[in-house]
Amino acid sequence: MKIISLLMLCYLMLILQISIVPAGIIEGSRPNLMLLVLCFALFWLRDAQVFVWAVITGLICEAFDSAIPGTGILLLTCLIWTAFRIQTHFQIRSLFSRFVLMALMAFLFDSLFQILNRLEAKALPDVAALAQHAAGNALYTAIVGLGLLIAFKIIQRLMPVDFGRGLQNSAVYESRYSH
Amino acid sequence: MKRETRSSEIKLALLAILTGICLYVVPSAYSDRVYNLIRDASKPGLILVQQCKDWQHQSTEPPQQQALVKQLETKLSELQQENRRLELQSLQLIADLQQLKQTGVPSYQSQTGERLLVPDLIEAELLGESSIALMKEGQLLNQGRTGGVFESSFVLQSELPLIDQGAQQGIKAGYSLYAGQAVIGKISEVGRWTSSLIPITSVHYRGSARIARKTDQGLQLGTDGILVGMGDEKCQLLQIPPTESIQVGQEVYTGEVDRELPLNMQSTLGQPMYYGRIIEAELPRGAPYWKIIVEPAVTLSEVKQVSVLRQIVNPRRMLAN
Repeated sequence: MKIISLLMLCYLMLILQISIVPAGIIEGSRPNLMLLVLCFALFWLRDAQVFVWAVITGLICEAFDSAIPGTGILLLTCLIWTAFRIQTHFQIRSLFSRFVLMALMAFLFDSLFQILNRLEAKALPDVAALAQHAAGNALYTAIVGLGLLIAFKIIQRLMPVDFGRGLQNSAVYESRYSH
Repeated sequence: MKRETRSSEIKLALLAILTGICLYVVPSAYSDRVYNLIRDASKPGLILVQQCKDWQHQSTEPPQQQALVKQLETKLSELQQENRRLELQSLQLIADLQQLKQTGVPSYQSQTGERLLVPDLIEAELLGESSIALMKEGQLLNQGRTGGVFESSFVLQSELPLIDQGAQQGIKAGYSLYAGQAVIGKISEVGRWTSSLIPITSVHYRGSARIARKTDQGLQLGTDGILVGMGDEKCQLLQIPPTESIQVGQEVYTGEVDRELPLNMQSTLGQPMYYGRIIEAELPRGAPYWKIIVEPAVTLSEVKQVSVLRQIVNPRRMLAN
């Protein structure tokens, strides 16, 4: 059920990224909704399936950014692996820590993705400008992600039935502190 | 358990990295197929968003669009009227030219004299049901019988539509009624203050009519036929011989001589007036005439005010005397 929900969210985010986001650019910064889908997969699945989502989102990023094939998947896999290890160790549950994680991931992905894709064309932009632009995008992405997380929490509270408990696959995730 | 989880994590991570490397290594033709698949998958959603945007755009636009449509419709109507006027003028000029060709131009310079009898149009209001009911009840005018107002003065027995002009204004039976340049009917009975009229769509209506054909030499009018009402917002054009070239969309004008019109009115019709457009034309095998259905340009329900064509003595001639 979680996978289906995530797939639907992924499709919705993809459509929004292409059709709505260009109209919502603020000072040249735009949110990366596909990265948010990957972050949500990390927060909700809490297992190794998140790497499958790294492949899916990476493919989408490459398809719509006309990037060098494979760069998106490689970058996202590396980033999500790091994030996954951090989550496993530090149990990231609060909104603030998730916000920071999303912002960091967005910043790293945006800057590294641009560097990688411009490296081949030997047209490396000014690092300071690139970092500034990536920081703007990361902040925008994190704010949108935080808004969505809050919205999901409110919707979950308002739901008469606790879907989260019923659909939670407790056999998959085991907290290292529960033993 | 933890070791198993860790092992699957490493396996999946390596698989993802391997996928990335594979995509980088394989020829772009293969990787493009994957990307095209993703792009195609996003199409339905994008179409949906586009439709929503269009719908939103349409829902915010209507007042402006409606105003524009109204403006364009008015402009079109004006242009159509102007076009019809020019067509009629051209017909008149063609007729004059033909006459000149037949008779020849006089050797001396002639001076056009004033006509003794000239056409005159009287504006008349169509009376509604409530007005007719009031008159029937005798409440409209307070003079009563002492003032000489009788029911017959209004032609109230008739079931036909009424106009508020009668014999006192010089209206006579058979006079034509127009809305602009379009014929809408003719006077049936005349009372003192009101008159009843036969609309062109009524089965009792009969009038002379001709079809205008567009040729290289301009508009040309065909032979005279008889226009009769069919009683259902349409008219039929009779007595048009098979030798005439008839097409749907051709325009129908009043005939040269209206047999129904009093002789003294014939000369006042200086130019043909418009009846409507052909919507059906059929020549059954062996039939002596065309079967033509005409859609009137204006029906009675569309107008509130009409013009009655009458004939008066030229006021200029009277002043000259």
